[in-house]
Amino acid sequence: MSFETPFGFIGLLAIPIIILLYILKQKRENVTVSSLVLWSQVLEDMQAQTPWQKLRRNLLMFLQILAAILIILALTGFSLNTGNVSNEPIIMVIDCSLSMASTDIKPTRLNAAKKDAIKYVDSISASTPVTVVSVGRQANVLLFSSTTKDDIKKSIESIEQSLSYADKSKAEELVLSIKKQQADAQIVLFSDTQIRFGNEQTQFSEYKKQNNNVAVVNFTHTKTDYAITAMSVVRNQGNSEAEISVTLYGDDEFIDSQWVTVPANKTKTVWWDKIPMTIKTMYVTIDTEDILMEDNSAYNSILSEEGVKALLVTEGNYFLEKVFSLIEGVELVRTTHGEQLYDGYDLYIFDGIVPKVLPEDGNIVIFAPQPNGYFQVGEWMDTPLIPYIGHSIFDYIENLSFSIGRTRIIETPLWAENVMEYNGNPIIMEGVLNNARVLIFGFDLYETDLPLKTEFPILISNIINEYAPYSGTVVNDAATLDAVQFRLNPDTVKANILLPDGKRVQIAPPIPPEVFVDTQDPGIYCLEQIKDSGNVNTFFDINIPDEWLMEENSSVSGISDIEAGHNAVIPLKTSAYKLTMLLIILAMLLILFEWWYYAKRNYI
Amino acid sequence: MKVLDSDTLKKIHSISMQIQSPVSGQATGNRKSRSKGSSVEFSDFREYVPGDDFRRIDWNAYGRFNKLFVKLYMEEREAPINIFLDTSLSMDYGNPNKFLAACRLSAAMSYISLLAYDSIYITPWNEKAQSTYGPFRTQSALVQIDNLISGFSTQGKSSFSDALRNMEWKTGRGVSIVITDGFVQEGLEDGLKYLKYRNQDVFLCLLLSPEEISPNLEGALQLNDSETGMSIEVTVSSALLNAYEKSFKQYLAEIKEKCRKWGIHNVMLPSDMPVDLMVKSIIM
Repeated sequence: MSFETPFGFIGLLAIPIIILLYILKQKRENVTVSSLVLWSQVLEDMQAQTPWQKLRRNLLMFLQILAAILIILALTGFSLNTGNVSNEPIIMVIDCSLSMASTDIKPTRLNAAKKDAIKYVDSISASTPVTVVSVGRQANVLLFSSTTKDDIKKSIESIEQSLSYADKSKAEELVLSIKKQQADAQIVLFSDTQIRFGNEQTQFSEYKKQNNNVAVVNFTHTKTDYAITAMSVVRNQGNSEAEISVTLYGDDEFIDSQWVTVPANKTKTVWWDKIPMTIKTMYVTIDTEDILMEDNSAYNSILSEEGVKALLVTEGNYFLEKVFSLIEGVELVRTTHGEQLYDGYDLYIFDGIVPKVLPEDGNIVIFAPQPNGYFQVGEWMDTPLIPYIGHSIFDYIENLSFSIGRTRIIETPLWAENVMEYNGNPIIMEGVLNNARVLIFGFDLYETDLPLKTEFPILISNIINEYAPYSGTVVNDAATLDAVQFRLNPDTVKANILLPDGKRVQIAPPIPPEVFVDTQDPGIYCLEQIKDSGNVNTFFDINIPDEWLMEENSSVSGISDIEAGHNAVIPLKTSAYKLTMLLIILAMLLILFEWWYYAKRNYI
Repeated sequence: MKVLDSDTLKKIHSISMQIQSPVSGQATGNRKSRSKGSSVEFSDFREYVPGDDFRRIDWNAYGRFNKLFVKLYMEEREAPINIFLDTSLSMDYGNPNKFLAACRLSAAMSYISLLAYDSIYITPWNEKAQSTYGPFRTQSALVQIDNLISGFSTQGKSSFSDALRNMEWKTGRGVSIVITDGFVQEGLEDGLKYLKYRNQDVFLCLLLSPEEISPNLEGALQLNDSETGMSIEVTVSSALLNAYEKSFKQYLAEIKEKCRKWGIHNVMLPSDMPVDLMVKSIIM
């Protein structure tokens, strides 16, 4: 038994009104008779004969109330559930991705889907095992093969709206793995878009009335010498042209607004120029209301370009001196090795030496290390041609292979990991020592052809980008629900994240911090690094991913081979019988009966 | 005449009321009495005692018995006719109006009684006997009666037994004509018994309007009692009307049975019945 529109119960208010009207209607015509002696006797006799006489006197009222109840039940979409006779297991897949927050179905698509899912649970028989899967960026099994309806309903109710896309491939993978365990299970999907689960038949309850939505799908900026230029891309996902107002805010202050016409199913780029250089954060928002407001804003943080202060300690390495001088934004100081303590730099490059005490206020790159107190360094060994490997320092470098004449035999310490190795001996290794990141090349640049390669400046640029202290706090293209790993500056003692809603979350200590996952809301975040030398704040933005783009990527993954023409998706079969028409017919019959009864006056 | 018209008087002129039991009126009349007097109807003999009217000595009997006997004759006296007219509010009902019909009937009964040289006492009553008017003895008193009755009006509740007990009785053995609708709140039975106790030859005239005999009501009604002001709510249906009819018949049957038991003449008179027919119904 379920009600499609419980708001219809408001109609119950009509019942006291009917009773009230009846009470008012009881104002009878006054007739004076000579005496009530006989009439009283008659009434007493008749009531004695018929105990329900009093009720019969109000029969018309009861008939009207009954008719009103029937009409109200019809309005509430009353349906009778006959239960799932087969008792086959059911896998309920509920989409909670961003698009399910659309309000074309009130209150939202997800709420409607959850409500229908609960109704569906009511309609199935008690012994049917149900697995509940929510599909957002991750596909999660909320409940596995439960026959307790209360638990099933609770798990459905616990599904929260995600502000990210639905990863259909993950959903498919997960559901198919469950299906392997429960071969006879029926898959029931509650979503606004079809998700195919291989060739498995899926009952699909769709939640989409319209698609009139315009979203900001990209927002970025570039700097010139005197101003910032921003670019925002809006996409009209609807089937009709949309005229929208787009507004740009900088540091929460209004900057500019534009009217834009976006053709149906097309994107439009909106440019914003002459943005003051002082602006640190921006967001662009579509002011025109549509069915999905969550994707109407996009955020962007503007990083201040800080130079890297680097100290090169070498006895005269031409390659390093030259390459560092070529890289923009690096303030290089060259020195030879002495007994001095090294401090005051962001990055230390030691070529051929390892000081007794490594600096602790900056990251360290070591080439051809000498024996030292931090890790075991042995003799030299011959090294063959080294092929390309995947590491961030080799980004943007394809098919690099270089020769090394010889490499130091090094024992990998506990605090480091091998990046590149030969026969277990590290050629390149990296680690964290006293909060400072350390990158060690076991070979001398003069004994390799690497500096002669055209990719060498890129490699060094990658090293600076990776090992300059600020690089560990830069977050690029992060989307909601992304996990963000920060590498704090070596001298940071405490770090907090300021969330868009103003809450502050401490992430360090411990140092290094754990992965930051509290990124469910889009907006501007701020990393606060607290140091003895002063605090450093770095803004970063988290945006809602472009669901269309993600769907395209997802469809590429293609876990299963879908048979052409196979009708795998069918509408949801409900075992609830809608009684609306029957109730209305009954109400009409009752009203007719009431009319007949009234006409006959076959009552007292 | 205010109450009776001449046509009605003509119609009832030849009607006379038969009274079965002896009466005990004060003046001479046409009715048999238990008293010995000077009528033509022989009653008995007794021995002459000094002081008797010697004109009544039966000389033939003296010839045979050698004793003086006087003839005794039955005294014919007037019959005291008590008319008890219900003037409670319930009588002011119906079309034709019951009270008007009751007044006409009272006048008509008075008229035929006056023709028979009876004495008429009229007592209007409701909760109590308002007064007893009379005796009216001569035919010329009909005008007085007519004036008297036309001055009556309905008021108050009805309690017959209380009315009888509190009234001043001016007559002895006689005839009592009770004109009422029978919808007496209390004491109708006690009152009738009391009249029998007073050696009355009782005629109970239940005067009812056609609306009471066969109510012409419909719909949802609030029925108000004209006497008590009490009300009940009914929604009139054929079933209810059938039940009323049944109850009405039962009510009449009960009264009839009781009257039979107590030796009371009773008759039910619709108020739309012509007065002469009412009179005939009572005395025939």
